[in-house]
Amino acid sequence: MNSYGMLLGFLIGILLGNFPSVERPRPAWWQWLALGLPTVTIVLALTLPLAGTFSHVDLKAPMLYPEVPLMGTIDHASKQYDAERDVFSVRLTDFARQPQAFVVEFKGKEPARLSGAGVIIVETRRDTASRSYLAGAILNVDPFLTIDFVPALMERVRNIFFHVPMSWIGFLAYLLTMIWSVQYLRTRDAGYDIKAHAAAALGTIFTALATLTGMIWAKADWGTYWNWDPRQTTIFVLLMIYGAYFALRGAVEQEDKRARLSAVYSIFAFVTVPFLGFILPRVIPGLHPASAPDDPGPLFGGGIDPEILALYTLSLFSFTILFFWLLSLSVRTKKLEYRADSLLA
Amino acid sequence: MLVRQILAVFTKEMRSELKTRFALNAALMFVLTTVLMIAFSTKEERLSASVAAGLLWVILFFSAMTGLAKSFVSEEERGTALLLRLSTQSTAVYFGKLLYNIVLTLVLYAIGVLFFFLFMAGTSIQTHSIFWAVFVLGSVATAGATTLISAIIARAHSKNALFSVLSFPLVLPLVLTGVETTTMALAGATFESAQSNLQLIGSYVVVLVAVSTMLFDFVWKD
Repeated sequence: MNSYGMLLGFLIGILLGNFPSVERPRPAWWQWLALGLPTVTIVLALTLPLAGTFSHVDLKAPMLYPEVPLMGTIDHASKQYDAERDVFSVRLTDFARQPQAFVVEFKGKEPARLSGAGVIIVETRRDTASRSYLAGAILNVDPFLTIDFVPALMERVRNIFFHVPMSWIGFLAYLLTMIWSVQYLRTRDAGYDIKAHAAAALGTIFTALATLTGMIWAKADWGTYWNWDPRQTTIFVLLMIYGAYFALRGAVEQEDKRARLSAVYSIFAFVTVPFLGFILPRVIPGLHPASAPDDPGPLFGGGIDPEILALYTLSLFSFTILFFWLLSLSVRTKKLEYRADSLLA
Repeated sequence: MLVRQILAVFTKEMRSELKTRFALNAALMFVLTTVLMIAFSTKEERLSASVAAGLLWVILFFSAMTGLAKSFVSEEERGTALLLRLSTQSTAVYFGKLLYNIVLTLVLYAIGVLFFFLFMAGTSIQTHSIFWAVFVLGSVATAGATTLISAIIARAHSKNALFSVLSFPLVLPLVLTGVETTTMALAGATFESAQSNLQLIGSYVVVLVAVSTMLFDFVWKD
């Protein structure tokens, strides 16, 4: 799994999300997929154990984390119990790209969970005086899947599966609003206005969720909820554009005039997107990854672990499908309302 | 032909503004009140370059908002929009109004800058080239971002409140870069170091005006 796979996942999500088309009801298997995948993603993202390596233990950053959840394969032949010191030791091989094997020491006799196990995740730290690896509680035995340990993030790494897809989809929704607004101005077909309006409404929700998850993350990692990092500025402006779009729609009563003016505004406001989204964050230094001019960021720069990227792709894919389902429901409801209005009028 | 029509619209705008002096008077009073309030509340302080630049741009932004909202609303209010629509090409109307808005913004910003440095004794411009470049580019960009918006709100209800709501997201990239560049000018940076920011504002203006030209017909014509 690399960054092209991630983009491919997003693309397939968009294509499948549009199947059979935004205005038509979805088949049953599609609905099960759109309910099941986000559920699986949420469960995996929240429950999969973190797995570190000996290098992470050696980093020793007590400010960031006292103990590393080390994952290792047990060498059963190396088990030893030293009665004098009351220490049980075993040799573990970790899962780094260049695996390392070291002896890890437990206090007391052999823990019961260790006997039949092949792979364990155990809280580990390195003792400064004796240079030996000291094990604490066993966190997991024979884990099914794991998320790689990221030193600066710890458990907060799980937010990448929520925050980043939400902001991408919030941006996608705005892009759709813009495209459908262009289509509206070309054809003057009220259906496009309905679609643009629905995409903007859903985009507001997803952008608000991205902002909220981002603020929680910022509090934990940067110290405050809001720092005016360039990307925070960008998403703030995106929210303001959405707000202005709805304020404008509220201020015009006549339907075709409302559709026309709001279409013009959403296209005009799109001018800011390349400036705020891609140029400004690179001109003004910020706290987000990919803030420096030559830094593509972890998702595109290849610095991210394949397990995280795979789960991220799944998350992006499933939330995209869910977005399109909500969009389709919203478009179809609005179309019925529109038809009812024109029948009554 | 087009140029003559553009100039005709521009002259008409200038004349009607000079007759009523509505935008100028309103902005003058606004700038005076704001600058005095800021000067009173900060008279004990020595403002840092970034704070002074931020305050200056707050004054400039809101004085522009008071002045620029009117350009199409007044046509609708006086009932002259239909005549203008019939007699003049829409491109000429857009560029005529844009030209007038640029001149108006330059005057408003000049008043703002004048009063700001008159009353804020501790602050002075260190690098004049950066300051005046960002002053001119900022005026043009403000006018470029808001001319289409003022055409949009002329056709909606609750016009004046809507104008700043719709304009703010579009002016913000400019204000952010403007504040940063003005800080450099007040702190005495070299012109070369501010060049990329100035290019950013310049390219932003070009894109804004190009997109406005394409979209103006949809707003102006019924």
